[in-house]
Amino acid sequence: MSTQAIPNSPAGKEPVLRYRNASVVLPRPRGGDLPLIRGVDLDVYRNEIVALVGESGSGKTMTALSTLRLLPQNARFSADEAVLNGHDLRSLNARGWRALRGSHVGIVFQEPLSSLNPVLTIGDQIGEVLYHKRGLSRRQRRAEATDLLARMGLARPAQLLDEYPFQLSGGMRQRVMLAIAMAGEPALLIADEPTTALDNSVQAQVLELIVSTAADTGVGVLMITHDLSVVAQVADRVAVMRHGEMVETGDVREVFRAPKAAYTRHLIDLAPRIPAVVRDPATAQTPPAADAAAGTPLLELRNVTKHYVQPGNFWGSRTTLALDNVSLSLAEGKTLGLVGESGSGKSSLARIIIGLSKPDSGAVLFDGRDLFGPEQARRSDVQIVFQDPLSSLNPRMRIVDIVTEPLGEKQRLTRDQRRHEAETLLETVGLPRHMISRFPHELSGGQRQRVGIARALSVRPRLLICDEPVSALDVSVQAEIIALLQRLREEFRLTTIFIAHGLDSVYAVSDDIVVLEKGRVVEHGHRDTVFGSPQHPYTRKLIDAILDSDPDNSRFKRDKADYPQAARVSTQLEQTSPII
Amino acid sequence: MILTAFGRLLLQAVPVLFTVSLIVFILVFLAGDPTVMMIPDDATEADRLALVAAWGLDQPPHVQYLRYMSNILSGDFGTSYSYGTSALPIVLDRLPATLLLTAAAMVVAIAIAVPAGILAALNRNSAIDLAVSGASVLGKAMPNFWVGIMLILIFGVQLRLLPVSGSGTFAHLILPAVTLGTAFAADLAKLVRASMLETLGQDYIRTAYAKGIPDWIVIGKHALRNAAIPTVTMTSLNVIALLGGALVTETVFAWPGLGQLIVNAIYTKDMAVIQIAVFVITVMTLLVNFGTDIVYRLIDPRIRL
Amino acid sequence: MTQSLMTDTRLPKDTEPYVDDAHRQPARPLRDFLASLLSSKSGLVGAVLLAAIVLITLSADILPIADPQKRSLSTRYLPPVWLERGVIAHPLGTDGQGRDILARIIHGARSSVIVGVSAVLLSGILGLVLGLLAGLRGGVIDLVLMRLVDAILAIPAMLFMLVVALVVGSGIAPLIVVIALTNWVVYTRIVRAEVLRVKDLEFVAAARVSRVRVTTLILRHLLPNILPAVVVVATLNVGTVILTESSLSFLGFGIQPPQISWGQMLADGRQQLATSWWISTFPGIALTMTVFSIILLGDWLRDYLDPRLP
Repeated sequence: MSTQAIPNSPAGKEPVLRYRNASVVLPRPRGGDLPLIRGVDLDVYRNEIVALVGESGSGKTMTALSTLRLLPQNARFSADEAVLNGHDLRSLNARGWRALRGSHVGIVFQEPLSSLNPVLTIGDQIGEVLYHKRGLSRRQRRAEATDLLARMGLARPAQLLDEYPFQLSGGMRQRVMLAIAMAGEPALLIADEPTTALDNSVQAQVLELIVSTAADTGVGVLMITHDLSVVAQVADRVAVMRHGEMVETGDVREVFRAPKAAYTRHLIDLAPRIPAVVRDPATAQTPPAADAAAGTPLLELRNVTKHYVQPGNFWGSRTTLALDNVSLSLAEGKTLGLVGESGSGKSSLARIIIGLSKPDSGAVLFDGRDLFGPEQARRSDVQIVFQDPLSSLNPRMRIVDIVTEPLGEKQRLTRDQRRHEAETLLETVGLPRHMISRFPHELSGGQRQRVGIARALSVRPRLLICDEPVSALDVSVQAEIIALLQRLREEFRLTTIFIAHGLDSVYAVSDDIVVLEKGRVVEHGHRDTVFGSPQHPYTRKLIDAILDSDPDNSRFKRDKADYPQAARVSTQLEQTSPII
Repeated sequence: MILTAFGRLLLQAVPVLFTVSLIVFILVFLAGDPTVMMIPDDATEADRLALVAAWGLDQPPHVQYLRYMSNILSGDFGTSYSYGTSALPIVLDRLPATLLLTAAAMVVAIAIAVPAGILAALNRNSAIDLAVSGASVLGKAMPNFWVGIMLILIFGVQLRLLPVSGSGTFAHLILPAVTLGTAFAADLAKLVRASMLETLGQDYIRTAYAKGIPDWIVIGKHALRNAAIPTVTMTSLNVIALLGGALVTETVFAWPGLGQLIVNAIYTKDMAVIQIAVFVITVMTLLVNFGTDIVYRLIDPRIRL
Repeated sequence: MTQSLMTDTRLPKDTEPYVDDAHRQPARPLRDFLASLLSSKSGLVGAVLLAAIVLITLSADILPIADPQKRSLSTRYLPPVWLERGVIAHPLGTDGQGRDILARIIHGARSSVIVGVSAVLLSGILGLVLGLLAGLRGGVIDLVLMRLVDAILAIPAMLFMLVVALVVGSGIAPLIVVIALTNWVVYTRIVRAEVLRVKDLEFVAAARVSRVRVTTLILRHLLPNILPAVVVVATLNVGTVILTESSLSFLGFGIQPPQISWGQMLADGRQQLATSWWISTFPGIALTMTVFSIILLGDWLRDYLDPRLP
């Protein structure tokens, strides 16, 4: 496939996708309508990548799915104008939609495993598009599918055709999804959070593939994402959505430089940035060497090794090495950031420090005493904030009982004391007192995580482990929770272990960094040393994978003299974006 | 692949057969002295005690158990009290009739349930769905043997279309097969509907629709095969239940299968027949599990590889 | 069966409509429960039908019906009232000994309800304890228990019950024991699976970090999250057990005369099918209606308590 010339100006050219005043409503069970998106204006031209960005509930996915009519069964779509590659979407019947899907618009979904059919081969799943959309013969289908997989950067494409999705890694599956989406040679490609479920380094590769595919074929891309750094890296234009409405659209550089809507500005302020020290190691602060030597560390791990037995299949179980001879130490009052890709052993380490599992060998010393030895340290001095704020709260307990549970039965608190304690704790984490009588499902995600923090604080711990405490939350809520943790750290003089996969946030909150790869500590040092001059190739790989929320510093974008002119930013949309 | 399944069969079979033999022994031992049923009315107490000694029933339980196990392992499954012959052939004689009835009932069940379940799932909350769901609940609620009696009443007594008991011709098979088949159809239809709905809600079905391929391919190729897995599980469970001899239905229709044999053996406390019947059924259960395993592997590559 | 619109349309995660936190309503358990029941047609039908059946059963002695045990040569084989020869005193006719069918059906309901509820309670409690033990303890206990469960499941249930009945005997109390001894495996399996599922949830890890006692862990964290599934299964199981009871009684291994049971009435009527169809038809309808209402109620309960269950 040849690289097509990029037209200098799309002005006068028809967009691949044009929405004017588009809405989707869902009838409520008890009458009335629930608007999912309202008054959306959107254009996507050939040869451009438009990012549709927003938090959960913003309607960005609904907008994307409406171009394929993959809406909930009884949802209603309406618009003043809705044209995809010359087809009026408002007047299509079932046959028309079938003809449109695949050949004019293709889609890549978020979950690479569940989006591929588990019982059909890769070749079959690509081949059926080639057959139904392009009428290729069996032999042609095989050749073309092999070619597609090769273009998606997959090694040994011919063999892959006879394999099944479960045999592929997440990144490979997403490449297969892209091959399926591109098999019908569509004019518009929808990418719905295509990298959210992937590790950071794989994310960069898949984004690069999408950008290069777009450049090679000229397909217009509508990229749905919640991540401003993805927007900055790949998009030509950006559309910001909130509560089902378009808040702002415009050229990505202009929007990042001078956001018009307060909500956009807020999002950009919270967007992940590459720490300055990475680009300029000279800015590194010299680690204060003096206090490292002072006194015994609060927490010390000596040669901790842990195997996990996987129940596996009938023939026997497999043993995997989760932690391999891990040693580290943490001084009182410091924050240790723990980074590594999924499966690197971060959570295993957290579980051992918290006492949920025992190391096979090695020692965990807290304040000089072995946590697993005969003379045990006070266990309640170590507490944890879990990743998933919903599953970490018992759905059948009220908040008052949840936050006071660690206080224990032995203390024999009266009902009133318990209430009082719970109210104080809720106030500490910024929740109203009256919430103590609620159940977890009556709270929002951010509120639940605050409850989880309150529970951990109830016993006044000295060491707090935060195991991916914000990764299940929306961007703006993430910022609030991080700020809360920072405040509490000082208020309660906490020593903290912070686990996250967003390296920028780990850098922002940590003093020291430990990098884990396959259960081994590959790097351990002051954050500026680790980020500024990484010694281990794995560390370098992780740092290289950080995406910067700066459109002028894109690693993927081809150099274009002229961006397509931004679609008109409707004044009506401006009015509906009040200050947060 | 067949070897793996066979290995699983062996590994499953040994402990299950051992446990089953133990349970059967304990139950038979607890059921007490069977000689009361065997001796003629005019026999003396001395005659009875002689019989007890001859059968070894005066020995302590562990001795009886050891002898019981060694007999089983040497292929001696005991002698029927009421028939006076070796119990194994008596049981095996009844097997063909039960197998035939099982096959016929499964054909009826699948022929009704699979299309009904799929139709209901594809037309969710429609009149068809409501009818299928309602019929399924009703089918589950009706006692099996009563359905048999009602079928006899309608087709045998009133309309005089079909024979009401016995075996031998195809006509004899119809009523018992329909009785059992409709009962399983009720369960199966509900399951097919549920697993079809579950499958249709999966992400990969959305992907298939997004490809713009014809709907019948989305349903027939993408959905059906995935929805088939739970259906196979339940079908095999039903086959197992039927192989055990549909005790009540076979009695109602005087169908000369295992079920009827077992019910009679229980009336007469013919322990040897009961024991061997339980064994034969357990072995068949394990064989059905083996077959199910292979079918799983054919459907789902994740198990195969 | 229940028609709740929110469950049939699959909304992508992103489309959860924006709900202001201030507007999230606190839960009102009893009101929610009743509102849900009233809004489900099939659940309501099941509940009303079942309530009526239980009410009639309880008031069998004061209802203006005939004595179910009274035999009479003059009233043998009377057809239902709407047929020729039918009399108003015996609205559903009489059996071969001149006993009133309606009265016997109403009194027979007692046996069904008693056996159904008691056997389910007994096997449910047994299965709950053993399932908790297997799921929490694991190891040898789990292995032995599960082998036993496998073996019992490999023997067809009806056959197993008949053999156990040889040991235990017949009559209402032995019948309850026979059914419970077979039925506990169902609960053991479910409870064990649920324990293994819930045990891995983060709130259990949180409770362990909080160093709660094992009894607290079980009573406060595990049981409340396991019981809904067990309650749903138990409700539906009452229907199955009632059917089992009638099968056993039909074969003569269950409830014995003079106690009345529907299965026994069906066995009686089967002999006179050619001449007196009503003897075996009406008990079957009563049985069907009872189980039908239990299934409707159970299906609704499952939707209400635990939408995860199939």
